[in-house]
Amino acid sequence: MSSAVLERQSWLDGLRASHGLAASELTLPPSRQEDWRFTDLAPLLQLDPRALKPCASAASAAWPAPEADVVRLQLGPDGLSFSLAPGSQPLPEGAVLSGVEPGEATGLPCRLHASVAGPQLQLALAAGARLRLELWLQPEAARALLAPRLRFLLAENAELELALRISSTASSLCLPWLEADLATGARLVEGQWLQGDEGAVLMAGSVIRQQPGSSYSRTAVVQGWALARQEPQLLQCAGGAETCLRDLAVLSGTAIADLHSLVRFDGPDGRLDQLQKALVDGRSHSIFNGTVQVPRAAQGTDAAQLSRHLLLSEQAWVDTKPELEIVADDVRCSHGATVSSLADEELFYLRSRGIDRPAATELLRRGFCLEVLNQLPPLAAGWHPWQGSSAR
Amino acid sequence: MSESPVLLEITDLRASVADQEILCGVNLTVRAGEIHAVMGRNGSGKSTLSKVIAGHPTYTITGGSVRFRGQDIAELPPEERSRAGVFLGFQYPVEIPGVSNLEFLRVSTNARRQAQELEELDTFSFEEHLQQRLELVQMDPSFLERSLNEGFSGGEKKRNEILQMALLEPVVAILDETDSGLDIDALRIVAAGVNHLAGPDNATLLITHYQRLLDAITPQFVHVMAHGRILRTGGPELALELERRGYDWVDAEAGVTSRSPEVLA
Repeated sequence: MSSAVLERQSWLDGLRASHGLAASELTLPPSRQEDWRFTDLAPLLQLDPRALKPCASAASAAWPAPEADVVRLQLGPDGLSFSLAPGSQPLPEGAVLSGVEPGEATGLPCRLHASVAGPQLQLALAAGARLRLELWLQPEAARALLAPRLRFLLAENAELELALRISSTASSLCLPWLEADLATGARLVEGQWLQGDEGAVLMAGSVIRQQPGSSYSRTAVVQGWALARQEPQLLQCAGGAETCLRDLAVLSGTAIADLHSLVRFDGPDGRLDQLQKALVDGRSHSIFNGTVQVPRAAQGTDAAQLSRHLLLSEQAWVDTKPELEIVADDVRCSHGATVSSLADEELFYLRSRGIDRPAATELLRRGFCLEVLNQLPPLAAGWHPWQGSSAR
Repeated sequence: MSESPVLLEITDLRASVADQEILCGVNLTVRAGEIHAVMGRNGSGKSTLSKVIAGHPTYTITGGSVRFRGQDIAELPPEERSRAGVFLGFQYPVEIPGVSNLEFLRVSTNARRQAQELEELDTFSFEEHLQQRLELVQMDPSFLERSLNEGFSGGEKKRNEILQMALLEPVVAILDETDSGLDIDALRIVAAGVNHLAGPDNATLLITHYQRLLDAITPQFVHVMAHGRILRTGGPELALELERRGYDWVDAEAGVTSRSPEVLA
């Protein structure tokens, strides 16, 4: 990793030189742009774009074998493709390991992603089909460039359980991009475990389009990273669908985690249940911007959004902004945001039972996180360190 | 005068919060095998006394002493007081989402056992150890799987407090308005648990407003607290008299103006 922060133009020139012309139209957002006002891009500019290369998967021998009914993919030898992990079930019919068209979405994660090459997976699930899919993306080397593109097409009543695990070493750049189209009655349950070392940068984006009667649930955990920016976009194309978003960021040191979510209801009777949490320690910085758009056509929408931050240090920083844009008049939409430190009464209660202050603090930290961790789908449930100690 | 050992000796105890004195010279001696009740109006300092004994960091001891089995515990953090055998049953047990009740009970039990030089209990042996205590408070085992006190009713929270008391086997148990929020059946169960746990080697300090708790748990000593001090001490008949006459006569006898304008916690 270069210790110097490159000028924006130098960084972009470096990316173009290394990765071809696709980057020619790429620009970085100015800090005065509202969506990037609180997000410091210095960690990205510290990465030397010429040194970043795709690389193969880390040795998978130490990974637990996949369950019997699970397809597990890992990075191929060139880092530009997926391959089946040892012990995996074969890919089902309808899965194609290439040829994903670029998405329509904008935003820096998408534009960065479109500028570089990476492994691709397009998977179509037929009506009523079911699949459990794990993606373990752990590049073997530092200075890895990882830009997976995933696209899922779920026909009527198809069900996909997706567990995406990305572990990245220092000075890596990860640009995962995920798209999904859910037909009526389709169900996508997604768990993401995104772990990066203190020099790594994550720019993740997703676009999920839901038809009425479909159900989408995302539980994402971000831990580490110098900078982790996520931009999930959920579009209920004609309303009438269910969306559940659970996000947790565990931050320390000088980490920056930024979640910019957008949920739009383009029809009536849609549902949203969103919870964003961050545990903010050291001199870290958590940013949340949760936009919920309820236009006139979205009568009967029922949306709840809650942002909760636990501040563990006087130097830590939080910027949180629930943003509800409601035009329809017959809706139920709630939002809330809390930023608090450890509660003295909770600490005293635990200490009055013989639990010393560090252990009590750890119990409270864990309790704060488990509310999200407990929502990880079964395939990803074993990834968190407190599995088995959870209270429900 | 009883010859049993003194477990708790409070001498001229003064304590304040935010520079406001709340305890203004409390004297109390509790011996092994005894049950004491402390009564008084709201704001008389009863709950503060219980928290100061347990080591709540909000309160500053400004004078006097609290001795537990002969040791001054004023400087000990709350966890060390608990491990030594001081237990506070909370009037309003806090709800802590995400912290498993079962794990909390195991960790706290092991902290106390370590201080008692007993072997720590692993998950399996702890559940066995827990079973008979659960029966004592007639608690549904499903509450163990839930987050600590989260969504518990008032009665369930108090049963959980007595369950903790049963597991920690304290030397001195202070129960702060354990009867508040309890219906008659729950009160009976909680009182039976407290009576079962009371023995010749430990002591119980009940803080309450009402005679109804003392109908179920009979104290040897009743103390009346007002304005941060214990004004009067008697036997169980004193509680009956308070029930009949209220508190004003105690103030008058002690020469204290009723309804002092001081705001006391």
